[in-house]
Amino acid sequence: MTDPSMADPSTPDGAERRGLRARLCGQRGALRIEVELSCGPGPLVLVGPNGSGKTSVLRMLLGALRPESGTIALDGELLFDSANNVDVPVERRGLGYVPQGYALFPHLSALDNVALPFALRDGQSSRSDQRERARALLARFDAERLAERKPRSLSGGEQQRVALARALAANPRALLLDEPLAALDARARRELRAALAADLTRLALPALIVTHDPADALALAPHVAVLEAGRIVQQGPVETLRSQPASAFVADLFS
Amino acid sequence: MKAERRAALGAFVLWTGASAALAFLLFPLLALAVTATPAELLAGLRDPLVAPALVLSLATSSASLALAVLLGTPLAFALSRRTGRTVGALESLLQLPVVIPPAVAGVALLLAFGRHGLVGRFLPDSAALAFTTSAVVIAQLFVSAPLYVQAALAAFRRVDEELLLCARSLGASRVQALWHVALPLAAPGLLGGAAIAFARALGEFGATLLFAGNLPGRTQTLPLAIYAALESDVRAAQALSILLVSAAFGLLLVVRAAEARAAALDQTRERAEPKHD
Repeated sequence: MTDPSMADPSTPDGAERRGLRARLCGQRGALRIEVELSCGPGPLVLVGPNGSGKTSVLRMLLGALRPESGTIALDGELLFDSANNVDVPVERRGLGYVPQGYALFPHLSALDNVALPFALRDGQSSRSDQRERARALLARFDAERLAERKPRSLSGGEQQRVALARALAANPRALLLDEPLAALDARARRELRAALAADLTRLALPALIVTHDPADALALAPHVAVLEAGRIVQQGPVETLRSQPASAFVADLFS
Repeated sequence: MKAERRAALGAFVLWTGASAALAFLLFPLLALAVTATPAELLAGLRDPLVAPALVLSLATSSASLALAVLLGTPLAFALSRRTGRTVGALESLLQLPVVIPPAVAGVALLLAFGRHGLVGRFLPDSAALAFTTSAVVIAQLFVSAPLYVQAALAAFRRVDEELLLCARSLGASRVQALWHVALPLAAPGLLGGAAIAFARALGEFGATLLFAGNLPGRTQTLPLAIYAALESDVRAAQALSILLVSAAFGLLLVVRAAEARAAALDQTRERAEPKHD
């Protein structure tokens, strides 16, 4: 695929096209969203106050909300292109999604939550095989002992790990995390920030993390994009944002 | 002193009213149970009207329930994921068959599917619907399906959209998301709706009488058999009535259990989702 807006002329080999690239325009109520962002190879934190359009941006990327115009590409493959009527449905975008509050399926055990993507993708594999693979994934997140528990009996941190394992079970090419720490109480939140940051580094997937909390942003990724009233006001390494803030808002955020 | 007396009078009026209402509502049911000896009732059940009507009622009510679930579930799911004026209007229209008088439902069905009806006139005589067992099922479906759809709609609306979106992101098509997530979570509500719809179908009288007639073995369901038996054998009518009351009570218990289960699921769902700002 060739999309001049996506390619970076400085890297003709296309290495820059790896990861998630998007240009999105849309209207949510009174809020005008005009965003251009690129995420990958590592994680990018999209930070902004409530009502700045973070969740709308994430839902547009996921395919749950249709932008008025723009393009979304993942590893160079177009997922959405308003000009050419490309709109890949949610289930074929290859994006792992960890929603706010984690949204584990309440009727399934932790293990079956993680096994569901296997059942959906290759229905011909046996149920015990699917469960074996799910168990291995849970083990990667140190959550094997939670396998038989129902989501309602899990703590916020445990739910988060199950939700991450579930998202990875679908073998995504990138991750979208909506306020991954907001559902936790203050103490768990401090403890889990580091753990989540380590997980995200270990996964080595492009990951877009949406948060309203600058402390989360500082802990979770070296790269941050600041969203204010539907526009990205500054984007770059945390140090740059802190030392050369583009606006009073950014300065305030990282002071 | 005066205030105390007024309070006592108030309590007296309240309790008398409540007792009277309770007595009035339960007395007819009591009459049904106590005015015949068990032997008389057993004899009533042996009336030749009873067995065919029982078989027909179970068969037709099961058929109409199956159709209501088969057609109503996708409809309810589709409606539950949409909002807006059109959906609201459609919802009201769908509830209409529940509140219109059964006789009116019967006339409407005749005008639609009867021999000279909008659809019926195009059917050959051999496939005429009115006054057949199919007509019984159609009448039952017409009045009972809306009850199921309404309950299913409420049950599906309680399923968090975010769970369905999650399922989609994990590779589920819309149908798979319905099957793996929405259906299991809505199951108690669907079961309750099915029980209400079955009870309504089992008791269907007016629309059946007008559209399907009262032909023993073909269209004479239990309620119609009661109507017929009143002329010949009151004890048979009474025995059948007790049978229907028992069935209705059993279905009511199913509805109550399903409601309790749905409420419990809702609560655990709230707990499973940690609070955020």
